[in-house]
Amino acid sequence: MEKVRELVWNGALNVQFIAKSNILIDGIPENKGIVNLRIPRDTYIINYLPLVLSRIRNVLKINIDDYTGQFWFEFKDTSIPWHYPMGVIYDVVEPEYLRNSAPANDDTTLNMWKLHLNYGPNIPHNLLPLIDGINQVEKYWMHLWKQACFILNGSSKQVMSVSMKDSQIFWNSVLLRRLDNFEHIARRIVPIKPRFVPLIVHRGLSFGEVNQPTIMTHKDDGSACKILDIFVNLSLERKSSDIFICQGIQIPLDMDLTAVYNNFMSFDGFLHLVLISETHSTKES
Amino acid sequence: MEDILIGRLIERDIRESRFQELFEDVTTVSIEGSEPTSVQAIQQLQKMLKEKEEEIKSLKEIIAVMNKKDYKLNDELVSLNIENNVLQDKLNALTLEHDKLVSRWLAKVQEEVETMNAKLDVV
Repeated sequence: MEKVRELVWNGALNVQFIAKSNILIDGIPENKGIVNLRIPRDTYIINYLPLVLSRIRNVLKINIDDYTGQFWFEFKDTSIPWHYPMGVIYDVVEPEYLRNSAPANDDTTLNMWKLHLNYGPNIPHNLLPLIDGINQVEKYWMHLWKQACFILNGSSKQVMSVSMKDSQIFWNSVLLRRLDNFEHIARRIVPIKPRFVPLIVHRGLSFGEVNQPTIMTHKDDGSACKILDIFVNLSLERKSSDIFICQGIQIPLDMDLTAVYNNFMSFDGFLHLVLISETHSTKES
Repeated sequence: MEDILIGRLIERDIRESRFQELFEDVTTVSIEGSEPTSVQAIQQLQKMLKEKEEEIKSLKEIIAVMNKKDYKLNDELVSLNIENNVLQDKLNALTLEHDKLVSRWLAKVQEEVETMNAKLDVV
């Protein structure tokens, strides 16, 4: 399990940030507003906004030390939410690379996620406003952990009893990518045999279609709940082409939910699964 | 099962880390970004730009207020024009009536004069 956790934690994406021409100083070529970063999958993309801005501050119209509007990222002219892990958003919008026929598996193909950086006085309606910068992100993340803890243990006591110092170490482990620190505190919150699993199911190829089902780790007859049982829980008709993606890989449907959670739990305490169905692919094409 | 997952994750990493040398690894740099560069001129320009944008914003607000006033004055002008037209019509009617009365009065006076003259001729 440790090996899987390590691979999950260290997964990263090649991301190209491109500043929109309307926020660049007039006359500056667009290629001056490009930043290429390799960003961990299991983190919030907004954590890297200060870094991106610092790289292009000299070509921006906006003074990044003193601005009143908001920055956000866009993918194909759709604003992307900051409050889900970056890898999850990538799996939602770009699941095609998992298909064997996709050129992404070619050795000479560069897999890169192109995101546009935009700025305006008002944030798009589908995004959570970010008033307090990185502090707000930390509070939001801690709040998610409280939710996850409640689902896992029936109360948020385990999170509430984490000392200030440890909670800072916990958050820093996400920012500084320290798996050992993260696991050390996360395992104090996550029980060995949880009754329920904090689960979020995202529908592939669209933002906002999210289900947060209440799903038990064991059925009434005592047998362990499988990934396959999520279809029943969500009252969905399962098609043969339906797949679940988690952390960029296809999850076997016959795998125990608890095992998947323990291996693929995200840094916010939730298990994020992306459901890719044939209807979604057809809709996109 | 674990071997399958590890295999898939390694496959994912191979796919997603191809040409990673072209991308700066964020785990090796400060998340807050580099310190501000010494290009103070650009910062000065950005500051100026911000001031100018604020100036444009306030000027736009002034224009909007002026436009509203303009609309108000136009309305007032139109209503005064209508009032003027009505009064002009009234004036014309009264002038006409006045002229009629004067001509009637003159005719009456003429008639009286002629009557008097006729009486004098008889005497």
